Amino acid sequence: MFAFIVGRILAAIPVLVIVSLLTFVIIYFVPGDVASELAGPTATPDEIEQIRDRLGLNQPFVTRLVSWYGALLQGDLGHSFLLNQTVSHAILERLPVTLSVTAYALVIVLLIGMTTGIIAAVRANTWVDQGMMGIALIGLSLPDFWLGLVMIYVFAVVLGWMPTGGYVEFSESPLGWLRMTTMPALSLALTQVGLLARMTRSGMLEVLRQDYVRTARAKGLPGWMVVGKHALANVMVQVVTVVGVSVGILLGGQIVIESVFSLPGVGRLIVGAILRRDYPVIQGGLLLTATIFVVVNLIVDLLYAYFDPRIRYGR
Amino acid sequence: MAALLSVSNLTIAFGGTPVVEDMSFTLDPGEVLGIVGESGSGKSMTALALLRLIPPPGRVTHGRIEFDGIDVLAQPEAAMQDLRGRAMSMIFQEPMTSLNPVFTIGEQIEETLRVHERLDRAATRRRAVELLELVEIPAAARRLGDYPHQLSGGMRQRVMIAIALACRPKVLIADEPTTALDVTIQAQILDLLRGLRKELGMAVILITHDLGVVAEFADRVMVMYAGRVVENAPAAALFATPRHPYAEGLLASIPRLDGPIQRLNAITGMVPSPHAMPPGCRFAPRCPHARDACAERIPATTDLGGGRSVACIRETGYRQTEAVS
Repeated sequence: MFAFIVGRILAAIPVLVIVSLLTFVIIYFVPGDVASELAGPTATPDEIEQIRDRLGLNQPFVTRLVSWYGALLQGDLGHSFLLNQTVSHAILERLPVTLSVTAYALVIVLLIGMTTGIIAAVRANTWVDQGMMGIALIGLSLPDFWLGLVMIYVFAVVLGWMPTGGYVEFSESPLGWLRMTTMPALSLALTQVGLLARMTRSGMLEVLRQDYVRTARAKGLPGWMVVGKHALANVMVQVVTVVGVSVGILLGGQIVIESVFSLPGVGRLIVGAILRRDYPVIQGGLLLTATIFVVVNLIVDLLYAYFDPRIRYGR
Repeated sequence: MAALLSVSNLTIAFGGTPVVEDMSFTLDPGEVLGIVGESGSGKSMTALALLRLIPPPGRVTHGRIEFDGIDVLAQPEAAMQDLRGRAMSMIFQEPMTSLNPVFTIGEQIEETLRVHERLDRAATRRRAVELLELVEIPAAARRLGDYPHQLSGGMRQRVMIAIALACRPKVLIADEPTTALDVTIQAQILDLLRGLRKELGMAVILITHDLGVVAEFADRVMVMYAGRVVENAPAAALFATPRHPYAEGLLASIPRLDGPIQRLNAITGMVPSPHAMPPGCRFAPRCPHARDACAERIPATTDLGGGRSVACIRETGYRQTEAVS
C-alpha cells in the first residue's frame, strides 16, 4: 500500500509540470498588460516601460520560465504584482474559505444525494422514485450561479433571513460561518446532489438484482441490512467515482460562486488575478488547483481499494 | 408422522401469467424430496415461494404453505426474516455470484449467526470455524479472513452450505446446487450434502434437472412440467416404473452405459411458454400417447396408492374424470 501511494505521488509530478507549463505558455500569449494597470491611466510610456523592466516582463520567455521553476523548486511561488503579498501567503490566507465551503457542499452532496438515490432505488418505479428523480433532474439542470442569485434574492433581499454575502471564520463563530456559507454551499451542491442521486439509484438497482442480495435475504437479514450493508457496500465504488468528479466540479464552481457571494476565497483570487494579469498569482493558483485535483484522485484510488477487496488484492 | 412442510394448491403468477399452478406436496422431517423438471418448469419459483422470496412482480396468487405448524403466507415480514436462514435455509445454483464479493466469508457466516442467535463474539467465531470444518474446508480458521474471489467455485458452494447450515435448519432447499460446478466437484458437493443430511437429520428439497443426482440422493421425486406437478412418487418406484409419459420420456433420454451406444433419445418439441399454454394437458403436444381427450382439460391428479400420484388420463382409461380448473 505504501509503495502504491509513493508511486502515485511520483506519477503526479509530470502532471503538475505539464499543467504549470501550459498555464505559463497560455498566460504568455494572452494579450493585456499588468504594467499599465499598475502605472495608472496617466502614466507615460516610459514609466510603463520602467515597471515592465522591474517586474522582469521584458525578459525572454525561456528566462522567465527558468527563473519561475527555479524559485518553485525552492518552495517560492513568487510575489504578487498587485497585492503587496507573496503568492503563497495570498493563497494560504484564502484557502480555508474555499476548502471549508467545498467540504460543506460535499457533505450536502453525500448526505442528500446518496440517501435520495438509495430510497429511490428501493422504491423503484413508484411515485416516490419518480418524484425524487424528477427533482434530481431539475437540480442537475440548474446552473449554480443562477441558483445562487435566486437564493440571494429570495432569502437575503426579500425575506432578509440570510446575508447577501461575506465571510466569517468558523473558529471565530461557527454559527456565523454557517450563515455565510450555507447558501453558497447549497448552490454549489445542488447540481451534484442531482447527479449523485441518479448515479446511486442506477448503481443500487443494478446491485439489488445480484445473487448475493438474494442470499442476504435468504439468510434472514432484515431489510435495512440487506440494503444498507450488502447492497450499499457494492455501490460504494461507483459512488466514489462520481464523488471524485464532483469534488473537482465543486472546486471549479467556486470561481463563480465566490464572486456571487463575495467570499474571499482562492476562486475569487484567481479571477481577480486573471482580469488584471497578475501572472505570479495566476500561475501559483492554478498549480495549487492542479495539486488539489491530483490529491483528490489519489484519495479516490485509495478508496477504491478500501471498498473493493478485489482491487486491494490486485485482481 | 406429521408433515414438516405442506404445500397445497400453490399458484405463483407474474402479472396475469401463472408460472406454477395448483401445486401440492408434503415433506416429512428428514426426508429428501427431489424436484425435477426442465428449465422454466417452475422449480426455482416454488423454492423461492417457500421462503417468500419471489422477486416482484411475481407473487403467490393462491394456495397455502404450512411449515412446522406456521402458515407461511400469513406471516408478517419480520417473522419471515426470523424463519429464513434459521429454520429454512437455501443454497443457490451460482456459487460464483451468491456470496457478497466485498465481505470476508467469515463475516458472511458470522452475520447469519448474529441475526439469529445470541452468542458472544468468541463463540460466534468458534461456530464459524466449526461450520467451515463441517463442510470440509481445510485450514478453516485461516479461511475466515478470505474473500470469495480467493476461493474456487466448489469452495464457495461449501461456504454457502456452511451459511445455510449455520443455525441447524429443519429444511435445506438446494436449488441446482451442483449445476454450475465441474463434474468431479459436483460429486464432492453431493457427497457432502448427503453426509450432512445424515449427520444433522434435516429435510432437504433438492431441485435439479439432473436425474442422476436425484437417483442417488432423493427419497421421493416430484416431476414438474410447465408449472404443474405431473408425477410424485418414491424415488425407487419412479425409476423402476415411471407412470407419467413425461417421466417416461425423461428416463428414456438417459443414455445407458451397459448397452450398445445409440442415438440419444430426446423428447421431441419444446416446453411451452407460460404465455402460450396448450389447452388441456400441457404435455399433450409432445406426448407419444396423446388422444383427443387430453386436450379437453387439464387432467386430474390420480392417487395410485403407495405415496404415488400422477396427473395423466392414461391411468383412467383416457377418460377425463373430474373437472380441474
